[in-house]
Amino acid sequence: MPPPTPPLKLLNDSILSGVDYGLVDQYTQLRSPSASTLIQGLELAISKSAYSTSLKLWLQLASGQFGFGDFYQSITSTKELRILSIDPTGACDLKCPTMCYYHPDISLRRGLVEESHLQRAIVEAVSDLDLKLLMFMGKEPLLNPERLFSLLRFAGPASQRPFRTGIVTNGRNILRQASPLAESIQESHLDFLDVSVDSADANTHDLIRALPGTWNLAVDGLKWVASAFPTFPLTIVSTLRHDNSNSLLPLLRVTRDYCSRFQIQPLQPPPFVSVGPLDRRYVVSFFQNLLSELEGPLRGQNLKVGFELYGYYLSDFLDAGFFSPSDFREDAEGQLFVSLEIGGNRLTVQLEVLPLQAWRLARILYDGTYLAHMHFLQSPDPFSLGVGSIIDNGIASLYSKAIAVGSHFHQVLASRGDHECRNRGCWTTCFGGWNGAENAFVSPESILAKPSLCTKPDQPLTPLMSSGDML
Amino acid sequence: MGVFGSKGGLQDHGPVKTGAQLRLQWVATRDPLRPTKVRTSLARNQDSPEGKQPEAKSNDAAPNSSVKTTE
Repeated sequence: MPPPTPPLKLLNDSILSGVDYGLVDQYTQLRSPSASTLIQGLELAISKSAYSTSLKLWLQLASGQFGFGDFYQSITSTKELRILSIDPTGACDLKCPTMCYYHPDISLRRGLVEESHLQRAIVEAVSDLDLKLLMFMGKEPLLNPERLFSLLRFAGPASQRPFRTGIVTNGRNILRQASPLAESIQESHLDFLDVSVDSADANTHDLIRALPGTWNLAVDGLKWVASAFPTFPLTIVSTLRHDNSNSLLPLLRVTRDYCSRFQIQPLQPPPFVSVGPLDRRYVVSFFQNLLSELEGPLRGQNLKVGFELYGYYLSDFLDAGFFSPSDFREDAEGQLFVSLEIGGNRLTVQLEVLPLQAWRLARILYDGTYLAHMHFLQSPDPFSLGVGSIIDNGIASLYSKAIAVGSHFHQVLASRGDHECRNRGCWTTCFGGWNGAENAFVSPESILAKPSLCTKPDQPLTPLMSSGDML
Repeated sequence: MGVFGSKGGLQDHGPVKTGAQLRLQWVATRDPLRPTKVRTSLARNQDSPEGKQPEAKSNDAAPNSSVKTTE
């Protein structure tokens, strides 16, 4: 049995008190879980989880039962594209400095793909790839309402549809598109709406988004949806940045009267953005403060908060005692998570350890380009990095090409075998930033020469176990 | 990494058979000539405990498991 989980309130109880690295370090001295502890925890998790496909893959890799070649064979034996995101516009009314994941020089003058091609791709993705989630996201989807709502009508009502639909928006145009949005919700063509707000403070948010008035427009839109459709799943999605931890937590208090769902994601590292990854101690401290907020001022609010945890922070969270490997669970779509009940609120930590892109996630750009890896949008010419176009190819063949031997996906996977972190204690909870390393090929340099995403200092390279086979 | 937004939360679907039927029906109404595959869902089902659709366990199922289409 794994050791009992330590009490949660280990750190500074004073919320919004800023980062105290010294205090955090008491609990994050790189005491990464031993391989045996992780393996025992995963085994227990598998026995308790309703679903366990991803958990088993993780266990097999961590225990050395699987090498990365086995992993590749296993996941490519079934073709399942779980999430298809469509950019229906190629346009956005914001220019977020340092954190827009679209390169500023990407051409926006290519013609829009005909809607019939998108419809055909969606049908084929459902038919042949068992699509479960269709998302419309940016650029900014509400800037092409005709196409957006037409595709939602094509998807049809939720009760007759085998996949979910969602929109991720900056919120500036919610009220402007209130009429078709209301129709989509009333007809249950749309299952959820995510609105980006990064701060409780309007000025801070508008500085991040670089356009005054954005916070007010987004919040007014949120209030309208909540008022008109009180039970509709409405989520505020926020990016945890280097500069907004103190104004992000109050957002839950400020908006709780009209929004009970929140999704917090640490800033995605390079090459998505031009600034470095958040320090592990900063993320741990923020999470501790989030727990304190949910246990204290927000007690009993029945909030649902999601927190996306990249693999390279996971060992720090385990060390801090927030949860243990036996708490890991998996949902029906292979998403790994830990679910915590905090003061009458639900906090779900999504564990991003295994790769996602290419084999579970893809994007169709506004011109019909099928993009298997989102970080290619950091190139000024992502169209040349696409697998192909849905105009000329079926989406099932594009999917197969995206995960084929020699593909970007395959190269990232193969690169794990030589990774410098292989002998680190945190290897089996991160696999060398695998879930981020998949984003590291914009330039032609080797994946092994990529900028490190890890914010840990050098650790003793203590071998944990014999390595499994390599590709 | 690479998905922005909530992804609609975690999912705890009903019986896979129902899901496959729904898929067949949906595809048939959009493209009657397309043969729909059911292999992938069935293969995944065999991966679940005991090779069948599991019953939700208290405190272990995905949160909000009573909600089918949203978080």
